[in-house]
Amino acid sequence: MNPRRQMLISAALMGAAGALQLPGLLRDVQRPAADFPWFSLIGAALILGAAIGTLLHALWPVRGGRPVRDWRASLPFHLLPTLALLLGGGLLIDRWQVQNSDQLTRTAFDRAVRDVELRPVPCPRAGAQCVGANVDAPLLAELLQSAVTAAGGRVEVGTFSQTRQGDRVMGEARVTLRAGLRQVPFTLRYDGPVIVGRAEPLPDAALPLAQATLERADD
Amino acid sequence: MTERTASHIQPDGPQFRPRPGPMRLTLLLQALFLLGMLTGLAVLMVSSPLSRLSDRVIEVFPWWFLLQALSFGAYAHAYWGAFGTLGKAAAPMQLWRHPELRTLPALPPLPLWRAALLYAVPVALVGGMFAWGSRDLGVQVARYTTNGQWTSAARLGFTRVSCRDFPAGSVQPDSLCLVAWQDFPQGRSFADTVRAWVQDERLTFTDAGQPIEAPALNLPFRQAGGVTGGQWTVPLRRVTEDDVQPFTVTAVSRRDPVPASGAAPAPELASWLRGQVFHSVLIVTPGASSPGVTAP
Repeated sequence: MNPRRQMLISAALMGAAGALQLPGLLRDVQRPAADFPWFSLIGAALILGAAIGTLLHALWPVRGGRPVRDWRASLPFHLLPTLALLLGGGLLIDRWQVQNSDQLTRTAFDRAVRDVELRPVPCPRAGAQCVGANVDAPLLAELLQSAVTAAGGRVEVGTFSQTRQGDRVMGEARVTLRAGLRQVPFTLRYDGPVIVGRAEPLPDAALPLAQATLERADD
Repeated sequence: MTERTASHIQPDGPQFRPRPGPMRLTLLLQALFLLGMLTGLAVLMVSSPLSRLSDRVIEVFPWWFLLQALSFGAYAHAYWGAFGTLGKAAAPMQLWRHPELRTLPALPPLPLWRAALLYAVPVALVGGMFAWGSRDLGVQVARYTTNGQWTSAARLGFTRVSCRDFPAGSVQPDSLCLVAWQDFPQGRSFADTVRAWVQDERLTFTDAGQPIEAPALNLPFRQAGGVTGGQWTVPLRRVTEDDVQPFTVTAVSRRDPVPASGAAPAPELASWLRGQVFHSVLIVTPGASSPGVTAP
């Protein structure tokens, strides 16, 4: 069979396979997770790059009439579209994630916080995110720290300060949360009751919740 | 058709046949692969994926992927040197359809180190995949186990607190510290509540019906100096269904003062507890025992 025809058939098949990968990539991009969809992007770029490369190699005008089926001859045809797809796709996804960083960080924090059994509570301030749990304030700080680390964020060294006022502890921490490839700064304020080493007796009813507020810090 | 079959050895067609040894190995491994796939389908037809068989199926996974890696390696060994130019060596399908291609000269043998590399790279990739899949799992399992223990203790009237201000030696960095200051639900005593919690954590969950209760453990509580309590090493459930792990459980309460019997349980913790506003402590530490507290 004519090698050009074979290559066109290969390109069509690989193009179909790449088209099947695209919905997954789009879903990964729109999924409100804070991580960059490296795996789907690389997979889609490889298969679409191979399809476009084969197509280019088959249709590129050569003087001999039929394309040479050797990897050295076809490498640039495959390499250039693959790299272009990788770079262009990465830049586009990064721009999209910067625009939607609020939603991304919010979901990532939500998920990490739910993993350590803190639950969302109604927030007095608009635009902030509040979580609470029936624990004491030092434990709340520890849980928040592990949640921020698990969400791919960073904690500035020694920032989970705790100020004691009577039988309450309050504190503030400057953290960054990940949105795609960027780190977005946030301020985390928390306060809660003290249970160990407390002076006043504990109430018979349930203790007030230990609460934390996550707010976007100005950078 | 006959014309095409007869003239299949032509200058435009394949010039070589694959190396015979690795080619036979490839066919053998792919036959095994096919058999495994058919067996898997049969298993899926007769049983639910959540059945007791699932553990065995998961044990087979590394071997399954090893088989595929070796199959890739054998295929690469059979065809290495002819990949760059498409159609240079006859493909397995061509060899099957046109037996006269089997008389072509075989590809030249590879040096041993290169052949070994061709098998080692896919096997290393599969190994890396499994290593990546099992990374950090210990941390996650420990966290979910702790969360489960916390939830069931919270149902019984305990509140989780930070272990930071507990007396050194009675807690470890990965301990779970729970306190209680109200009456326990259903008017239970402290000892009964702790026993109920331990039995809760010894339930085994299966996909079939109710959770299975473990036989009750004999947890002796000792009373002395106005406190009651004890420390035991008990096997408790981990998050994975059937797995248990020893945990050190320390329980001390000054809620129900009773006459003394024997030595004081965890004297350091007991004297510390007298200065606190809550009446009961429950400390759960993974591992057989923690230093600093005397075992009963």
